[in-house]
Amino acid sequence: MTKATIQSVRQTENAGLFTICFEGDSFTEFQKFILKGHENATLQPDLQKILNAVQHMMNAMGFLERYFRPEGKMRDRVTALPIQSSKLRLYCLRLSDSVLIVGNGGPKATKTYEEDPELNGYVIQLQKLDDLLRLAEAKGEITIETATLSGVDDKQFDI
Amino acid sequence: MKHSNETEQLFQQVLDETPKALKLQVEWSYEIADWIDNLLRSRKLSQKEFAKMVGTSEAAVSHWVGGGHNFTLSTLAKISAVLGVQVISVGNGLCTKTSGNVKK
Repeated sequence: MTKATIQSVRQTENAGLFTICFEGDSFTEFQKFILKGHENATLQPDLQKILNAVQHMMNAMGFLERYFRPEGKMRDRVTALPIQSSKLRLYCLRLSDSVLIVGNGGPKATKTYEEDPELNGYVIQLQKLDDLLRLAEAKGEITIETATLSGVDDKQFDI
Repeated sequence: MKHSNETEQLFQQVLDETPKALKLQVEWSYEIADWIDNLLRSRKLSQKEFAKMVGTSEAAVSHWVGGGHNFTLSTLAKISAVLGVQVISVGNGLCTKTSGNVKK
């Protein structure tokens, strides 16, 4: 179990983008995902498509459910942002149409993410965070508001 | 809450490095997706009904409205024909090229 914090990445009028940072890590999970694609000529166009899609959502309609593919279990809010004809996956927690927590991801070479230990690990991280966020929401410690999250300032999550 | 400047800078760097054509492709695919979704809602058409009208699968329509789809002209023409609304227009009007000069 590792302690993690939620950090903000970008905010627009319509949407807020957040990521996770594990204690002792130099990079956030979203940074790790970007660097993976940025340093790989094959993955770079797909990375550009995904990031431009995220930016477009933030400027336009927000993080609408139909843009994302449900992953994880039925009960959680783990989703993937796939781009057609691409194997690159960015795993996210879609908390609302205006709040998205992005995690890590990578190229999906297996039929399901569960068959890939690395991708499975990213999904499990987000599932655990989702459970903890739900608990904190139920206790009233955290509130999902328009484009932001309240109450997570210095909160650490054991993931 | 801590703001990760490094993550935002890296995010912006990738956006800045993206070729203009690819940026437009992404924007248009999401704009068309939203446009189709709005039209289906306003006409109270389900994705299943629309798929049947266009002659495709429900999964294909789900991909169209999911954004990020690389629409072919053939698909856009079918959608336009079925909905009776033109999905795309070319430029601001018809252009014809004569002896190197473009006339509007």
